[in-house]
Amino acid sequence: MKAKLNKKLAKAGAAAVAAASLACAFPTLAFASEKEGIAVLIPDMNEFIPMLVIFIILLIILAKFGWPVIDGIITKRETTIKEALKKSEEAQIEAERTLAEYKEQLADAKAQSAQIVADARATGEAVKADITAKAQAEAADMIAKAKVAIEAEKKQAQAELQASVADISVDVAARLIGEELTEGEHRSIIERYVKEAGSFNAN
Amino acid sequence: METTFIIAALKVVGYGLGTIGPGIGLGLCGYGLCVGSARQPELAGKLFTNALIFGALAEALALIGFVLTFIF
Amino acid sequence: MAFELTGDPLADIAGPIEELSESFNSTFVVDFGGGIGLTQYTVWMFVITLVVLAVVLIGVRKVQVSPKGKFAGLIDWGYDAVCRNMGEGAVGHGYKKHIPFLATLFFFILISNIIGLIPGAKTPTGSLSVTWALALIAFVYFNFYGIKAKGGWGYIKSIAPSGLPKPMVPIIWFFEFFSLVIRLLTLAVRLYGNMFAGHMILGIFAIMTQFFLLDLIQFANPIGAASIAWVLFLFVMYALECLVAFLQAYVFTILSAVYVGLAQGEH
Repeated sequence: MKAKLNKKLAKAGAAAVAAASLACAFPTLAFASEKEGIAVLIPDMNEFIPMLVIFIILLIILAKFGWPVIDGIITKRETTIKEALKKSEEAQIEAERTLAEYKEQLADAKAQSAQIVADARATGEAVKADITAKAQAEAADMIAKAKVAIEAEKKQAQAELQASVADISVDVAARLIGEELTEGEHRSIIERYVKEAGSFNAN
Repeated sequence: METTFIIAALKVVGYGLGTIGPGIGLGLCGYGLCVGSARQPELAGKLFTNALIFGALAEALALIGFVLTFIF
Repeated sequence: MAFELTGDPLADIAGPIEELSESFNSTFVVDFGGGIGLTQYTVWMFVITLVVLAVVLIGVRKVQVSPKGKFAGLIDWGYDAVCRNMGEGAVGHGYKKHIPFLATLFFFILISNIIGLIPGAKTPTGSLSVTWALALIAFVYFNFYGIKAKGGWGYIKSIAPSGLPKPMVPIIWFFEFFSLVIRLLTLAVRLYGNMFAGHMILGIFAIMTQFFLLDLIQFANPIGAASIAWVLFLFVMYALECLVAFLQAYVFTILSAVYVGLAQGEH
């Protein structure tokens, strides 16, 4: 009886010391089991076979239905990120290229516009000079024409005047003399005076 | 029986003594892993794998001692 | 649970500790007669299998390309840890086809350990037969893939590492062969020992607390004040057991991965 109590105490004491020291991972309890010796290591078939069977079934079920789904999602995540990165890189390159193109076009347009302005200015100057020259020529033309016309009118007026001088002088003479003369008398007057004038001239 | 008690006590003491070596061995394994990873962090993965292998080898002795306590 | 109390706590706990150690035995829940039946560990193993199936099959449906939700995030992170940490790290190249096995192993042992932490539940990995089955599966698995990668005779030759002087090869080969065979034993006993001993320690600390306190209350034995120390120890050991649950699942899986990697050889 005492030996049995001693044995229980020894076991309890051993367990307490092992637990309290925390030095070793597994306390050694030689607990009262039906197996002794190496039979402790032989697995109990009641638990061994169910565990084998169930684990293999679990493995097959999960390998078919469980893990491929999450595997697919992880690869999809990877490819999505890779593609997004690649697309953004391509978009960046495209954007830079378009920018360069636009800048080139802008410079071109500016050059062209400057050219057009210069051209227009030159054309304007030329046209102005042209018009001025034409106007001057026209003016000169008109002046010349006017001069000619004036000459012609002057001559005409002189001719008219000359025609009326003789009449006016006969009138004046008639008033001076106080006589009315006929044409035949005119001529004899005029001849007499011309003769007298000639004789005075001979003095 | 007295002898059963003595044998039980000796089993415990024997196992306790047998844990000294693997304990020190595993501690050295962990030390090597920490110092090596601190010196070259890029090798940490390979060092960890090697540390596990050698740790398992050292721990095998402690586990054999644990099992022998039950057998004899 | 009627134990008569004497005034001495160290004598009182002998009976309850006996009962505790017997509660860890594989007692029959359903007895089919003739030594065949469902033990309590088998029942818990069925429960754990159902939980693992539920968790994984529901979890993988919820994982999306941009992660959202905590549960899906957990499953995603666990699978990612198996893929990268254990797959690429430990197995090396050609790790893709081993991932279902490693992931199933990891999730099974992890969930089993965690559920065993709940008071009143037993973890199936606390029985040597169950861990023996797991270790046997892992052993057969890595040997199979080793033979597949190198051929039968090549695998046996590669057990001794390369680059040794000729006379030493047989000796080293024997030691390496022994070390290879012992991998089966160590995988099983490591997991079993950690789980069994951890729960036994928790039980013992609980019993100690209870009986020291009872002796203090009933017999005014001043040594009963040590029950506070036992409560603190119990608290610390419970936290350690939570860590050990994760750690042992991780160690089992990553050792299996390392053995597969070693068996397939470095290229």
